[in-house]
Amino acid sequence: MANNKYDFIKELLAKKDLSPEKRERILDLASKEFSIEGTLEERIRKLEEKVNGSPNPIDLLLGEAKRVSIESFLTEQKFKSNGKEDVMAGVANEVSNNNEVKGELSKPISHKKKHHDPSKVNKWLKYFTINNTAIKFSTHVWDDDLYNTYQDFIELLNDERIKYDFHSLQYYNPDLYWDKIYPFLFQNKSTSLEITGKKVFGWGRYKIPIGWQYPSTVRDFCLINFDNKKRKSNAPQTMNLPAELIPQHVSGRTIKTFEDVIDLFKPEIEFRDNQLWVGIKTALHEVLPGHNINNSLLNKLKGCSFYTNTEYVLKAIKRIFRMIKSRSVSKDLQINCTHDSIRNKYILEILHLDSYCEKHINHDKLISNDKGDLSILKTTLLSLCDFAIESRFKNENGDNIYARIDYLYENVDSNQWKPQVTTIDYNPNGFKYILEFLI
Amino acid sequence: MTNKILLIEDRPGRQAQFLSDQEIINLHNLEFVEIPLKDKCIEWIVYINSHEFENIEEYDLIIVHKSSLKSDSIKSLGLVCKKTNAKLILFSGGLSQVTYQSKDFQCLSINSSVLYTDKLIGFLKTYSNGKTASLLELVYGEKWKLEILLRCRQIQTRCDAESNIELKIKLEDELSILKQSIENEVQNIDNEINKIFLSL
Amino acid sequence: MNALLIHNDNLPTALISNFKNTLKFNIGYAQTLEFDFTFDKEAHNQLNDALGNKSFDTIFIPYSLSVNNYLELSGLRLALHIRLTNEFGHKNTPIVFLGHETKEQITKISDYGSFLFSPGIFNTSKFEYHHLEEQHNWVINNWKENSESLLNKREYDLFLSRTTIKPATSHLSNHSLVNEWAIYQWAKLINSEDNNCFHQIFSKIDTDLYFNYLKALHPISRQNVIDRKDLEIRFSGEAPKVLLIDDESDKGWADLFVDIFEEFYFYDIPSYDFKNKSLNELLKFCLNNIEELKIDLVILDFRLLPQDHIVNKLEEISSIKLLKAIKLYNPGIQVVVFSATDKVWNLNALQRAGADGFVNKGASIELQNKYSVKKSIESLVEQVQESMSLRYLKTIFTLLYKIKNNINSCEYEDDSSFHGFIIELKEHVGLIEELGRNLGKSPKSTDFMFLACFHFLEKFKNQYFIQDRRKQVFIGLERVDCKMYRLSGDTITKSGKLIDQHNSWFNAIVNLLVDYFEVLPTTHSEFRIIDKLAKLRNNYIHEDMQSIESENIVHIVELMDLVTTKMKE
Repeated sequence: MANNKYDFIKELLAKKDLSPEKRERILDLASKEFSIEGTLEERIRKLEEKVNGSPNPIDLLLGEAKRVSIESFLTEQKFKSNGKEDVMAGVANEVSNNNEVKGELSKPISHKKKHHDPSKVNKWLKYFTINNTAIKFSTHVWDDDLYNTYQDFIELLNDERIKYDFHSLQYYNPDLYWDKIYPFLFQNKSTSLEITGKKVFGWGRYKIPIGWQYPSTVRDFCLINFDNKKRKSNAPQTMNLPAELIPQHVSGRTIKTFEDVIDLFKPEIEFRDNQLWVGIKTALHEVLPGHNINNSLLNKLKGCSFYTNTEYVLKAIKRIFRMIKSRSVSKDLQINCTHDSIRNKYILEILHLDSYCEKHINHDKLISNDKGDLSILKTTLLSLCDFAIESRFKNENGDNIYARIDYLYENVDSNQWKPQVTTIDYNPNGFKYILEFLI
Repeated sequence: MTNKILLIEDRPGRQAQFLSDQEIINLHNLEFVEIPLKDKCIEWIVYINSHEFENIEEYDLIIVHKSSLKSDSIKSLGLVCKKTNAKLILFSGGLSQVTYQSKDFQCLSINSSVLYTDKLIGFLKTYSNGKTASLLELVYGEKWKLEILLRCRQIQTRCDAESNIELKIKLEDELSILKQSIENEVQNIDNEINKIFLSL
Repeated sequence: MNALLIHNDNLPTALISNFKNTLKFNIGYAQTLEFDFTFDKEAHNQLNDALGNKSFDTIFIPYSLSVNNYLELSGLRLALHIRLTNEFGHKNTPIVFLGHETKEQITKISDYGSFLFSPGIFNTSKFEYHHLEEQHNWVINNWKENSESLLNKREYDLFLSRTTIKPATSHLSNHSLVNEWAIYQWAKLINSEDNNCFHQIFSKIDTDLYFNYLKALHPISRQNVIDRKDLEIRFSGEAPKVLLIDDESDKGWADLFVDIFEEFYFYDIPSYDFKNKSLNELLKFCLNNIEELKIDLVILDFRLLPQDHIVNKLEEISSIKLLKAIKLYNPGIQVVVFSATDKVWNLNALQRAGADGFVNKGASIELQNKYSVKKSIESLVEQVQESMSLRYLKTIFTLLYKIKNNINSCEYEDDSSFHGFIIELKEHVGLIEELGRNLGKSPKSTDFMFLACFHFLEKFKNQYFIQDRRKQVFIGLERVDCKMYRLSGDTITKSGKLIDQHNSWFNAIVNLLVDYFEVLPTTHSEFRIIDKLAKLRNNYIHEDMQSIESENIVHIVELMDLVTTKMKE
């Protein structure tokens, strides 16, 4: 506890994770506080409350509140609602009458502040493998006596959602949360968009219309076949899907049981075995059928397994291929994936051989926040991987320079996004797209 | 490297039913195969049923009488095999159909009479030397290559008829992986298959 | 095209999507871990969902449905399920196999490929929808005359004759299989199938391919069902106590017998851990139960312990040892062996060991025609009825055992004449026991037994009654006066001392019981029985009677017990 206001402000300003914006705010607040009446202690207390206090629901939704505060607030909410109700529903209830918040809620997600931190997303996705978590068992066969009832499992799942703060994933990769994980694991009723018909419930690439909690099919099955039946139980994975919920458009696969559904979810969040290789080969076939590709290098993608939003990664790669297609100067490609064991990453490089960028290094299409394919790629790959390009550009004098532009990199907040340009002393041999995935 | 094998048989009479005395002696003399007897056998079964798997993790192939285990122990044993990359063979007098799955780990379920044949010792020796491509070699002996060829042909048929590019690529990949396990015998799959059938 | 395509996503996508009716047959990893998973059960359930209440003209199946093991040839097994399961309603529907292999090739690598050569089975190596449509149309319209595509009875029988389905080959599980099949048939024939106890067995038999094959080979019709009246077993006195000793009693036999032996006290030992007990433990346990429960009839399985399947000598088999032990304990307890074995040497060994009857479970699959289950049930009823008529033997041997104890506990001086008498009595009891073991086995056995018992009692008359010079008769060492007794109702009345008169057998016994051994008062119902026994013997000797009833054996042995209870010199 600071002894005086100066120490207190000094402590605050010394915090390493303080963003420049917050820093300015503290200084602003400090100067305002000093100018108002009240004892020193009162003024310090007010200052602390402003900067450090428990978040209010509006702050939560606006993404303003600090993480630690969020957890304790949520715990408090849970306690208030006897721990049985969805905490975020409690939050939603509190703010539902607040017009400011309603306005905020009605904005598309993309307008909300988002962050780039692949390690966080990676950590969230790895909860699907950590032993003894309900999240893991949402995608794995259940041991006997693991859960007595379906409700036991769901309660643990919901607890872990709060414990691991899955809700915050939307600020890193909204599609991964809202379009995959939330409907598959946590959604237990229609959202307002679904009620109004603006959206149809379904997750993932194939818009699968059933998840663990919604509709109530799995729950109803378990009531009859699983709950309290111990060794004589039939696990929910063995449930046959009702006809109206069977997805018809999954090519080459007939989806019949809930286990089949779970098997469709897993590749949404993880590239396994040769899945990445298949995805890229398919994209090549669709977009660049006439291009030459070094197959022995491409085959190094086989076996590259890592957690990510696979659909979005492949979407980004397709965009890259379309960008390559638009440059008809060369039809030669090299796609390679190497394992960086020190940084524990897969480095995926897509090189359009002998194709160089003739633009100025500061061209809008290279460094703009919201123009051009590269900015779209940045948005698509946000929090999934670090992203950079290497090529030959022109400098201020119009001379050729080799440079690397990092668009997504460590310790950058999307609010402070700025491409980082670094000159390089080697020739990348074309236009190279570099995606770095955490393993 | 020698792969270690554990064979848990709680009814030694069963071996006597299918194997000759000399074959039983030879089986028990295999260095890399541990076949616990009497109290030791019971001890192993108790360990597995109590989910104590530390000692079992050193084995690369576990062969166990299915009926001696509780159903949750079988599941847990499967998880251990998945973790350690070991393979599992479950045998029982009551199993009427060979079932083989390789989804998370290789697991073969067979009748006792399919386990205790003159192929067993040869299979265990080959396995311990790391030269076994598939557990199906135990069941089908030399015919296991026929299994691969037939599956190749089936996948090829699907692939030829497939219009979806992604699926076609997946099938081609699956095919190439399969073909690796039979090396060069894939010049003409139909001919190879017919040759094997003629020899049967 | 009104056809069903069975697949596991292992056929061209275009083909699968063109079919209106498909069944994806897949066994997921989660299903294989279920507590009661079997391939056949899963096949049955999935086929039932696809075929039940529907009607297809053709069924298309690839030879193999496994994505990991083509040689599993699960398509063949599914086809057999369809052919052999009534409830799917498609046993006569033509089946077309999809695959590049020929029927001959498949037969080489399958244990039951021979059925591929039976009527109504076709194959094609084409995987385009329009080709299958052509095949379907040909099958419907041209396969047989009159466009009747379904198999008729003759063709179905031909299919059965060309089909071989083997059970599991392990001896231990084969034993279990035979038991289950037997229970199923018994339950059907005595109309006990609605009993919930059989749910597990019926569920297995209804889904298991091998059992469906047996059902097709040996169908049970309503006419074969046994009338309840024919299962009635008559007995007199208290309800008999029956103990079933069978390591598979809990599989359904106990429930069957409870149903059959409605009026009896029926016991079994379902939770006994036969698999892990030694022979000595088994013998001790069973004998304790027989003694405590006062069992009249034991129904005994032949092989009880796991080692029984591999012993070299018949005498080492646990049931034979147990049988001998029971007969040693009380030869009168009836033991009927109930087993699937029909080997002559086994039956001989059981007979030598003292078995009172043998009933074949009737489940020997190889000898299904020789031993019909119906005959087995009738045989059981008959033999149990027979054992009820010999139920008195248990009482007799219990009494004989008591009599021997009575005699043994009698005090005597060594080498005295009384000692000699004791020895004689013991030998005679041994003779009576031997005759007792033959009771019921020959027509005159009860007569011989009776006379032997009578003779036993006569020895007492000869031993205890001494006439002095004055022709007065005294009894025993104590020289008690022998009286003249008359019988009136249940009361005997004295009419003076016995002097110079013939001491009848009746009078001698009564004097011993009332005046010397003092075991009866002067009024007792026993006197009427003694009188009756005396007359019986006389009538028999003088050929006024042809045979002695078994109840009289019991009476006379009870009398022997009474006489020896407080025996003294």
